[in-house]
Amino acid sequence: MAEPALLRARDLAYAVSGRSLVEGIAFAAEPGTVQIVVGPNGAGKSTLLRLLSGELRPSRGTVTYEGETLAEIPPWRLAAIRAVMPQAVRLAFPFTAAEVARIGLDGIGSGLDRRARDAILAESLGRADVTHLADRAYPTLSGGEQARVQFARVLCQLAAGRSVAERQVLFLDEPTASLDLRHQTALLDAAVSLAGRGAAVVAILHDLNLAAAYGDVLLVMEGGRIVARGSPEAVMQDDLVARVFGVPWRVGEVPRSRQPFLLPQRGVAAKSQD
Amino acid sequence: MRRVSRRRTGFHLGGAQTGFAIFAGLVLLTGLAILLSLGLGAVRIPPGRVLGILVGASDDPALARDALVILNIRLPRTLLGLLVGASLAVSGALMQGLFRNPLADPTLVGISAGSGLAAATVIVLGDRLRAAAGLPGPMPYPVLPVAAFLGGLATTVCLYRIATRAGRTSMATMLLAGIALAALAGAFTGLLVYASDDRQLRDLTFWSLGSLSGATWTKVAVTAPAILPVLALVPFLGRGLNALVLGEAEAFHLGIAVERLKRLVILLVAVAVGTGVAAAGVIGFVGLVVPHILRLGIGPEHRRLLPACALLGGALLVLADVVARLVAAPAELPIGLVTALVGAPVFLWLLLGRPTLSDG
Amino acid sequence: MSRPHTSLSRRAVLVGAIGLLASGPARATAVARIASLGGAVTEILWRLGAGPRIAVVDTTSIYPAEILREKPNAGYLRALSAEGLLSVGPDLVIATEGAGPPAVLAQLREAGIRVELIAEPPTAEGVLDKITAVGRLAGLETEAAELHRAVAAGFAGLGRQRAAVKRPARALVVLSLANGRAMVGGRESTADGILTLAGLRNAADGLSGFKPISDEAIVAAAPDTVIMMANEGHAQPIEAVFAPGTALGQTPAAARRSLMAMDGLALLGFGPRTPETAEALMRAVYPDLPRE
Repeated sequence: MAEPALLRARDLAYAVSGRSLVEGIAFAAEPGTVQIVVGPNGAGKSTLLRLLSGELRPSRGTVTYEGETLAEIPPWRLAAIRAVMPQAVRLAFPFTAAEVARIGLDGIGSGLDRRARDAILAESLGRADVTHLADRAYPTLSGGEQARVQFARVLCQLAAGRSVAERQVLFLDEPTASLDLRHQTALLDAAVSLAGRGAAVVAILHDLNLAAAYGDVLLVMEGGRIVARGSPEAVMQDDLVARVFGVPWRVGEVPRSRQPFLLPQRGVAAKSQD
Repeated sequence: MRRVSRRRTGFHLGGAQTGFAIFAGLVLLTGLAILLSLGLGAVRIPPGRVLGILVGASDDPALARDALVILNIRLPRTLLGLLVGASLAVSGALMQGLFRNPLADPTLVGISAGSGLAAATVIVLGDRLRAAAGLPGPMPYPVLPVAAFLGGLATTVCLYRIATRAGRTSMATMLLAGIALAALAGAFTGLLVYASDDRQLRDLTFWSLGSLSGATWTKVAVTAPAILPVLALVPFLGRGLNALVLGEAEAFHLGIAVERLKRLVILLVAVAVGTGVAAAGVIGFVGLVVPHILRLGIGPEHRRLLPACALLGGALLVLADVVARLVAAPAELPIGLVTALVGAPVFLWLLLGRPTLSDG
Repeated sequence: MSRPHTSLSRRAVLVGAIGLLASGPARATAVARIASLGGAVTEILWRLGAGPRIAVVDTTSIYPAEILREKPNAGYLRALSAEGLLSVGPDLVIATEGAGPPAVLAQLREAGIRVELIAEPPTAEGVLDKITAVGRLAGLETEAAELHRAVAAGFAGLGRQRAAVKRPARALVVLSLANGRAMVGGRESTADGILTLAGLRNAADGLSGFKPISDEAIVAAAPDTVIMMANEGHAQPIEAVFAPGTALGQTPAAARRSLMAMDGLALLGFGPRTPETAEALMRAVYPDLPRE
């Protein structure tokens, strides 16, 4: 019996002021998968994410979660089903890191008791490796630290939402942009383990090597359309890379000079601080 | 797993215990402000008699004047001060949360521009309009406050309409449109000022400096039903405002109905501040400074901040009124002067004391 | 601001208050403490010899000069404080109409204090009525009648001299001159009133009330003389007022160097000094007028 897809988009398009940003998108996400969207600047990756998360209303097409369209799902219930980690968040007020993470627990998590909420908070802070920053004021943190706090918040939201929705989607919009190597892999490892526990992960990444290491499925976008979709091996071909990304580098080729290279390796856990 | 401690560093003082202590302190401060406001004034009344009058134990006709001062002058004035002060401070916090900017104050929804223009119109043109309409006699007293309230409300509605497109309200547009509307209202007010005579100019100036003078039970009875419901509703907005601090998109992702929240906040602020302005004229700085002071003490969490603002705002305005009444007795300083004279230095001191605010 | 006198004993005030409440509005004996709000009211009370009984004044009570220095000040006439006024324990409040805010006056009445408002039409009859009314309220009818007689005689003499004026000169009353912007008295203002009494034509009769006037309108008004306020002896120097290039500098008044500075209350307050003030104006503008 075919269960409705956790997340499905049909013939999705979005245009503003006569300009088409995204066109003809067909997309599906199932629990346990990590899908990574890559593409050059202006390809429409962020727009696609915003359409899928419900932030933007498509000009054409539908987005459904478990068969229900976005219009049918009230915001509070949607918050239990999907969480979005934004690219960068600047706060005007000096919330502490713990308070920021705790915001993810409000709303959906208000049904949980105090002990459960504290437990979720502690675990999320730990997974994002920001426990030691819990009492620091968020605006004083570095860009990378702030990103990790946002990740903790998103983890809190998903954990709280699990009490309401069994299958969830995690959206990550360039989560590794300001992170150092250790935290890049730590975050993506955490995302993968979430996928292992039944969530669907959809992430935008700039780094093709990270995408190759972590993605089960890569989606290449260009000019608002998905031009390639499949496993990393299938997608990352020389001619596609050259055409879409505009660089003549060869896939899998070791550079001829003595330039060293360092590729990310998924699942090889970094030593965490605590 | 290390237990997450609640202790704060950096910007604010420590601990849940401190938070509780601060709340208790605010309640005490409010109580003190009420006591001072009832006990002090141009007329010397010993504390024992004050209590006696309040409790109703004193029917001595010889003390009729003192009873009148306490019950009909100081008590309504104190209550009005608490109401208006609370509404100003809470509205300031609401506006700062809505605009995600610590510099926002309640007047950003266009209220003082609109109500100022309405007040100027009534003060300068009122008699002429009445004559043209064939109505005899002087302007009835309630016309000015009602006009100020309606003027403020009208400007807010105007601003909201301008800033809202396809169901989405842009706070950035609202800010800019607010500046433009304020300039326009200011220009019309300026025209009226130019056309005014000396007496009208004085009246307008005093109105725009704010005063709790002439606070009667009638005024309290009219103001309370507008402000109290707003204060009661406000803690329920705390969760939404917390999420909004992260950004509108993020708040939506967290399940907040963002547009509805904005509409509600704007409406509540318009009603609360509009009523306050109608009752007491334009009183500045309370809405800007009180939330700042409190954020230093109890942090920016809105569910704590908003009730605390109500307490501190009310207490401070009542204390400012005590100063306004005593400093130049038997005359009175306009209360807006006191709040500015005290508020501005405090604000500067706060700015100097904290690490530089990041831009944007 | 010094307050050399202390308040009367509580008992005296309360007895007075109870007496007031008990006997109702009709009282013939002298009132103990009066709140005098409005420059003309204060001046009249002082002329009637009731100066010591004035408990508090307002900011417009500038004549005589000592009164504002010696007496407690209740603030601006239209922004009074109920408790402030109550604290000086007045038995009676005499205020020019326009005192406010109305809620404060109501609160005073609620406290059992009699509050009487005096109308201020800017005419000779208005002044005389004011004197009678204030005198009656203060219980000084005899003195008031005396003053009434003197002032009425003054007005009568003024009227006779006015009759001798063949060609009325045009005068402009300038309330304030700041940054080159002049505020003048037009029709239906107290300035108009005093000019009428002085046998002068109001050059600014195109305006109503006290309004700012444009440079062109000043030149079109072509006043033969300019009258300005000089409070506490400070007045703008004639060179500044009639500076070349300013609108006022291009009037007949500038050519004749005819500038008068007068005490504001005397000129516009319509109190007991009105006849002398009007006569001084008349003398200055019509020097050839035969004296009485």
